[in-house]
Amino acid sequence: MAEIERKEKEIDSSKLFNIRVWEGIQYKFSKDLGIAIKVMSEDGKINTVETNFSEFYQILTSTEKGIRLCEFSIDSIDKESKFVRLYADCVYYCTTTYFYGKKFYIFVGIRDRAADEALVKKLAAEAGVDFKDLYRAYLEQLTFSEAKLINLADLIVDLFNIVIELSVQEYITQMANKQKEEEIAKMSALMEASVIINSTRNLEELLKIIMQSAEKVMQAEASSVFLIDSENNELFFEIATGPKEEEVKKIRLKMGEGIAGWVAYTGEALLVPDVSADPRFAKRVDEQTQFITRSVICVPLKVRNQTIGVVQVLNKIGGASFSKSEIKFLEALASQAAIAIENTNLYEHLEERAEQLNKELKRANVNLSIEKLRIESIVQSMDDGVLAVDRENNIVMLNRVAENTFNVQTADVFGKFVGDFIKIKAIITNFMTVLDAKTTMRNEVMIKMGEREHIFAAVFTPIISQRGEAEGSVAVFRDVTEIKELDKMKSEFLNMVSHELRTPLTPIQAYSELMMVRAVDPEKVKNYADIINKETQRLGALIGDLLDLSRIESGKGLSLMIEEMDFAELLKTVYETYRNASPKHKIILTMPEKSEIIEVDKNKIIQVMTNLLSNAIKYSPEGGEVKIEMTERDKKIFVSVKDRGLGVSKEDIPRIFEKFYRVESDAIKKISGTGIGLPIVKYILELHNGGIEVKSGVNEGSEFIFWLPRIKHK
Amino acid sequence: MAEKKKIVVADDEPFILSALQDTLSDDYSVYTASNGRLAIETVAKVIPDMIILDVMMPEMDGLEACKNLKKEKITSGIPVILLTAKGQITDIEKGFKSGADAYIVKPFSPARLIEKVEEIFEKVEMRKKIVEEKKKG
Repeated sequence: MAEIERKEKEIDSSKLFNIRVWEGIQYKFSKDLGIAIKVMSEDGKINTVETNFSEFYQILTSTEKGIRLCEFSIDSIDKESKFVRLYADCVYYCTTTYFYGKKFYIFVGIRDRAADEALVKKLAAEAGVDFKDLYRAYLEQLTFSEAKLINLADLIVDLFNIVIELSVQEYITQMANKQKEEEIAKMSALMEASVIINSTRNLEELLKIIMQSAEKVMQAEASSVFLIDSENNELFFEIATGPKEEEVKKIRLKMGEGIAGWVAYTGEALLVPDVSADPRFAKRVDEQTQFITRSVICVPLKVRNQTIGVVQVLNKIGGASFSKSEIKFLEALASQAAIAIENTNLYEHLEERAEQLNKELKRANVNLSIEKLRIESIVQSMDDGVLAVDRENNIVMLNRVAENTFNVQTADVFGKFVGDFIKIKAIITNFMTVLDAKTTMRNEVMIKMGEREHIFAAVFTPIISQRGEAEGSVAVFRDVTEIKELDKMKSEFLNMVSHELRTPLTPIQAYSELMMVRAVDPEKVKNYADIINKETQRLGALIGDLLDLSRIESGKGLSLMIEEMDFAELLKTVYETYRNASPKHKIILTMPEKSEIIEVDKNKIIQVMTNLLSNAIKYSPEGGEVKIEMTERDKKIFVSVKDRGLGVSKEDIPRIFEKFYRVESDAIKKISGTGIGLPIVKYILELHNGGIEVKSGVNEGSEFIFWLPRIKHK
Repeated sequence: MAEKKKIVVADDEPFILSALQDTLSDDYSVYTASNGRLAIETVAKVIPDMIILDVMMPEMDGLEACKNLKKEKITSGIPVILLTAKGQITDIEKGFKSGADAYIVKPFSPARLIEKVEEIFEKVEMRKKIVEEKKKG
């Protein structure tokens, strides 16, 4: 019952009545039956025209158009009388009916009595039409008794009811369809919103699209999205659509102010059909924007149960008010918008984060590649060979030095078993041991490079992963051949020094003891003392050499005591000293018969000569001539000391001036020597701005030629 | 008076050689050589009772000469003293490996040298006696 009442209230039958259908029926009644009908609703909203299209009236008026016999108005109707006699015996019978709570008056006009020929004659004459035709038409008109007329009226009322019911049904169907369409529009708006949410990342654009679709679906004049500015507890317009968009955006609302403020404050949706009647409405917004708000739907924007703003839709187009069902729609839309806001924030946040991460990653990558490059170039430029293998002892890395050492190319050996390329058993064993034992190993390995065996100090270290497993191992090879050589040279030098010192000491000790314990003839005493003296000098010279070397080594250098002197005299003195030094050797001195004045450190030059002469004697154990020759040209004095001894190979010539160096040959090894004489000689000569060179070959004897400028330039 | 025992001494240093000669010539007949090769030649000529060799000598050093002498049947029984300026154990080892009977480090005391020489001769005498007694026994 309530349903029907509601429907009756809601349905305005006057609006729904399909007047065209009814008028069609009226036309048929009047034309074919001569019955004129008029329907009039009490409120006057339905008012059909009671035109009579019957033949009689057509003939009478000489037109096909119908004729209205009377014009009823609500006020003119005598509500109590049922009959209204009008024209040419036409009587309108009035009946009433109620439909959907509305009263309808239905007039049925018809001839109601026996033919009146005189009346027709009079009408024909007045109208100037043929009487016979008119009278025939007059007779053809239906006549009804009062009782029948009532029945006819009832029938017509039924007919009217049917038409009006059909109209209502049609309206209901239409309404249902319209509602469905609206639902579909809402759904599609929601769908659209969610699609937009997923595809658009620009929040403002996105909210605008959502609000526009809300306006479209809800047929609203304007809409807006407010967000809460939590810092000062105010609402501001994030989005405003509609005609006053720009002005609206400048306005801020306090929390609780206006409908929007209220909704933001309470978190509840609100439908205000008429804002003028609602005290919560803030007039100042309208005043500022000159917009007239009539009705509002406002719903909160909630993100995880927290109100972050509100969405409001204003004024339904056409002046109707919003319905409650639209609240739901707007809420759905608002939740989509909230998702959008959250998504966008999230997305923006994520995007920012991703960008940041990306940047960090890039930076890290750059750093990493720089670091990698750095380490690679360090490893590559290392002086030591580096060779790394994996768990299966396959080569994973080797640097240039290692490539040279093992005479392989990275491209050829990468990823292959180390034993396939390196045939040195010790190395392969070490790799395996290190991997198994997970400990570092150090040892020396011999590697043949070219023709020469090199000694390498090798360190094998396992590469231990964070889980403590051996992932492989790396070996570093340092070529210590030279160091070893130097070491050997040093210990040989020490041996030689010891030998060289003991050699003169031996006669000194022996003769001094003999002189002490034995009764030696005075003649022999002199001889012994002479030997002791000579050997002491030799010892002194040797110690002098060692001191010189140490001064040169420590960077202090030697200082010269330059004096002007006759070089020829100097040579003669040296010659006299060595003339009888060795019975096997014949010392020959050749020089110009004139004095050669020169500025030198006399003692140092004697040291040079002594060294060269004693070498010449020492390294020609078979004896023979030792020639000393002095020449002078280009303001330089040249002295050659030439023997017929063992000689020096071409390869060794540059090395004999290196300290401690001694030629590696059996013949020479048997001859004692410290390997420091020639370096000192060279040093002294260079100090004088002079120099020295050697011409020699194995078993070809040696010729040492040195030169000095005649005047030493400081 | 019995004939003096013969000793061949070899050293490339003339003053060391003369010192050896001057130390030993009162009690022994001393023959000198200036290197290993010459020492072997001298030994072959005189068949001495003892040989004193410097280790480091040109042409042929003392170790090589010692080895050669110990290889030859005629000279293998002659005691050899090596004179070395190097006091290191490796050198002494090398010396004994070459068959030397004793070594003296330079510089040496003449008295010590004579003692050593006499000590070796005594040992040789004792060995001879033992061998003879064994023969008798």
